Order: sequence, then C-alpha cells, then structure tokens
Amino acid sequence: MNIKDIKKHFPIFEQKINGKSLVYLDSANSSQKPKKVIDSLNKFYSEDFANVGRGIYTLAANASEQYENTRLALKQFINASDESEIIFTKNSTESLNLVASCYGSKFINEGDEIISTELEHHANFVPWHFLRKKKGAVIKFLEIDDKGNLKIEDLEKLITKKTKIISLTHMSNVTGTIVDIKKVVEIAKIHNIPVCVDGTQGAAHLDVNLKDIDCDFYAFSGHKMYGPTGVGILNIKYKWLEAFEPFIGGGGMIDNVSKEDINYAKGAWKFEAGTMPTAEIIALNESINFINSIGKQEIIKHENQLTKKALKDLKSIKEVSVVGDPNTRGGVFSFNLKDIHSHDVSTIFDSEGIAVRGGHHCCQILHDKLNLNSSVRVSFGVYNDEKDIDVLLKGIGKCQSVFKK
Amino acid sequence: MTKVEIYKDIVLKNSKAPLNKKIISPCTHSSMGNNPLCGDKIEMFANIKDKIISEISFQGDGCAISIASASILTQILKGKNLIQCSELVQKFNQMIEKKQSINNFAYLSKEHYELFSSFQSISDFPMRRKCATLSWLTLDSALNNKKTIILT
Repeated sequence: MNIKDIKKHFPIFEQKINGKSLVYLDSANSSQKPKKVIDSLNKFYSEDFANVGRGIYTLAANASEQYENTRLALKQFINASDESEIIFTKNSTESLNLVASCYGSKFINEGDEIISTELEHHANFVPWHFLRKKKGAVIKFLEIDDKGNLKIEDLEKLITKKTKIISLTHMSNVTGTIVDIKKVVEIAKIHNIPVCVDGTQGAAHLDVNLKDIDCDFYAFSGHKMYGPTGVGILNIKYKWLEAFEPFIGGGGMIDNVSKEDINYAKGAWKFEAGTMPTAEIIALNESINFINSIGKQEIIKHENQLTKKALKDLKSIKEVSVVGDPNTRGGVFSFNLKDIHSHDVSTIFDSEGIAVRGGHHCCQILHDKLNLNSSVRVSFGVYNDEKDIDVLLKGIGKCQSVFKK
Repeated sequence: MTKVEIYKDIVLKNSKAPLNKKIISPCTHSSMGNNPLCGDKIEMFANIKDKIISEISFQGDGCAISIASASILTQILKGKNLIQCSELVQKFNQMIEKKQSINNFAYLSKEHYELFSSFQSISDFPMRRKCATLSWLTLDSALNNKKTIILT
C-alpha cells in the first residue's frame, strides 16, 4: 500500500468540518480508522457474531479463533515471547492500573519506592499514586533536562534497596521524546528491579521489539494504532502472570470452581474476566494488517519527515515556542503561540478544519516542570501530508490576525 | 455564527488588558476555581462591607474567554449588593449553560449590560462554556464561604 494515497482508505476524510477539509493532527490522542477496520466490525456483527470461549457451536468456535488470531498477530507486531503473555484489557490505562494494583498489592509495602519520571501521562502516575495513598509507598521522579530529554544517567542515583519498580513511558505524548527503554532495563536488571513501560505512543509510532527491550510489562492500546476503541493490551512476563492475583474475577478466568475453592486459568486468560470487547479485538487484527501492509518503518519515516518539516516551519515564526527539543523524538510535538492560550488556538484552528489538542494533555507534572499552563499539541499519523502543515501554518496566521484586532 | 466570532472586541480587549487582575489581601472572601479539563485556574477575591461588594479582583491563568469573563465580572459586580450579585451569577450561568435569553436588569448600566451579554454567544460552543462560567462560579463559592471549586 502506498502511503501517498492512504487518505482515501479513511472514510472520515470524505466529509467537511466547518466547511473545510479535515486536517487531523490529534493522532497521539486517538487515530482515525481505515475502512477495513470499520468493515471488520460490521462483518463480525453481521455474519460471525457469537461470544468467545463458551459455546462449541460453529459460530462460537469461529469467533474464538478470530479472537485468538489477534493475540497471535500482536505477538508478531511487538515481537513478544509468547501469546500467553498478552492480556487484553479496556485500554492502556487499565493495563497500567492492572500492573500497579496487582504488583503493588503483593510486593509494595510502606516506605518502598517507585521510580516514575517527569514525562509521564497521568495514566502512568495516578495508579502509582494510589499505592502511595494505600500503602505509604514513595514515588521518586527521574527528571528531564530543559530540552525534554530524560536524564537516564541519573537513574542509578535514584535507585535504592527500597526501589520496587520503575514505571516509565516509551515516548512522551507532549514533547515526542523517545526514551531509551533498553538502557533503563539494563540498569534495572543489575538491581533486579522490574520495569513497566507505558507504550501507548510507542506501540503506535515506534518499532517495538519486546524480545530486545526485555521489560517486564509493556502497556498499550489499539485505538491509537488505527484500531477500534475499547481494547488495551498488556504484555507481561510469565513469572508475573503466575505471581499476580487476578485483577478482576468472573467467568472465563477460571479453571475450576467449587464451593470451597477456585483455580484460576493460566496465562493471560487469568486476567480476562467476563465478555471482552470481542468485535473490537477481532477488528484490531485488521489495523495490524493495515500497518503491516504499509510497513512500520515506512510509517515512522513518513511521520518523522512531517515532524521535521513542521518544526522547521513553525520555528521560523518568532511568536512560536516549541515545548522541548529532545534528541530523539517521534511524530508529536507541542508549542505555544505568544500571548494566545492553547484553547483559543484550538478553537480558531477548528474553524479551519484543523483538529489539535490544547491543554496539558494529561501531563500536568511535565507542564509544571516547564512552567507552562498548557500547550497546543500537533501529532501525526500515516494519513497526514505536507498540505496539512500548510493549513496548520495558515491556522497560526489566523490566530494572530484574530488576536491582533 | 462561525467559531472566531466569539472573539469579539470586548472579549479580546478584556483578555489582553484585564481589569482588576490583582490580589486583594486581606479580603473577607476568596476562593480558588479550577477547570481540570483545560487547566484554567482562577482565584477570586472580594471585600464585602454592609452586604455590598466594595472591592473585587481576580488572579489566574487561562484562555482569552476565561480571563475576559473574570475581568468583566469584576467590573459589573463592584458596588452591587449580595442579592444582586447572586442573581447576576445565576443569570450569567443560565445564559451560558442553558442558552437562556436575558433582559437588562434595573440595576445594570447600559455599558455593564453590554459587557454581560457579550458572552451570550459562548453558549453555542459547548467545549468553551466552562471557560466563561469559571470565574462567576468561583466567586459564588467565595461568597458562600467555600474555598475551592472544581468544574468538570
């Protein structure tokens, strides 16, 4: 599939927004969906629907097979060790909550330390804060420099005998900073500390090779990688699957139930209680096919080229200040326009059909660190092109002319 | 109406050069308002003497709509009694949240009525309504002796 005419695979771009062509620059929030993914949802409900893992009739067997096929596709997609280590959840947030809750309840006690970073999305901070409240744990922060690079060189200094886990992002959803997770895992291994990675941006915008990274937990979601909403993924090392108590209980996650006792299912299935978002999980396979049909490397190259051009163009406007300037970055960046608040920029952009996010993007700690109240975030997906950057520049001009009145 | 029309001259003027943007300390009433969705933060200060607002001001960080709204609030409410104040807060909120049309109040000057009603069009933009009402509801919580308010 050629990236140049990819837009036509996304029905959303056929309509006008406020009379203008849609310039969608909010893929870090959620990506748009290709027709094949939408068709897959429709097909499953029209032709194939049955609940998975319960019936032995034809429809149920087919549905179960399709459901498990997505797990196999994901295994390849992130180069995971085994499909039994891939848990389906509701979203990245739930995946991270699962780790914090299951790991925390068993292995974190009063005074134990959790290492987080200043780059984290609230989804990878709030669940750890719960442990601070419930267990009296301590959260320590790995800092960023003024360019938004994580100071991995300071990690050793933060680690003590009380450090129980390191939980950090693979790629910032604000500055685009790519974190050298492999390096973090190498350091953590010396001290025998597990590493939990928020791969929400990483899985969608970076080439993820979990056998190489070798972290204990990798959380991400389907809706940012051109898949449906309602599906999160947690890759988890088998030893933790065994060690953890279940996150939620119900049908599907058990082996045997008697009045006296319950044996839980083995592997990922121990954590998938009740009816899961079946159609969405099955349709996620189509989004993986979609990405593979273009090639992850091609997508990364495309997004990087757009980011480079957009940053060059924006930096030539003297009223624009870009948030951070990390050494390695993915296809997302944030900026502020002098004397115009990010929400006003977003409203005026909307009048031009441009969809961006204004605010703190669920990263208040990062904004506080950089002394910012908010910022405008631009994030690219496979469907963006250089014309979108031209419209973005036009939008900036419009903001300036409205506020010059 | 198009989106950019919410940036009327009154809004732009009051956001760029807001009036009464300062701390009053000490003061008889104050409250912090927070809109976590967008990060807008406003603190309102008032001195009440004989049931009349003798001094009023605000501090904060936010978008043009929220700052302009706080600025016009302080201009309109200074010198009003507590009953008038409460009525104006209620009417402003209804105008924005419920799109209720408003008539002038006997105790508002033509100029103040114009300031007040200049925000009416914000009601057409659901994502920006809270920006306009934050300072008004924060003041209301200050007058009711609540220290913080969070809009969601």
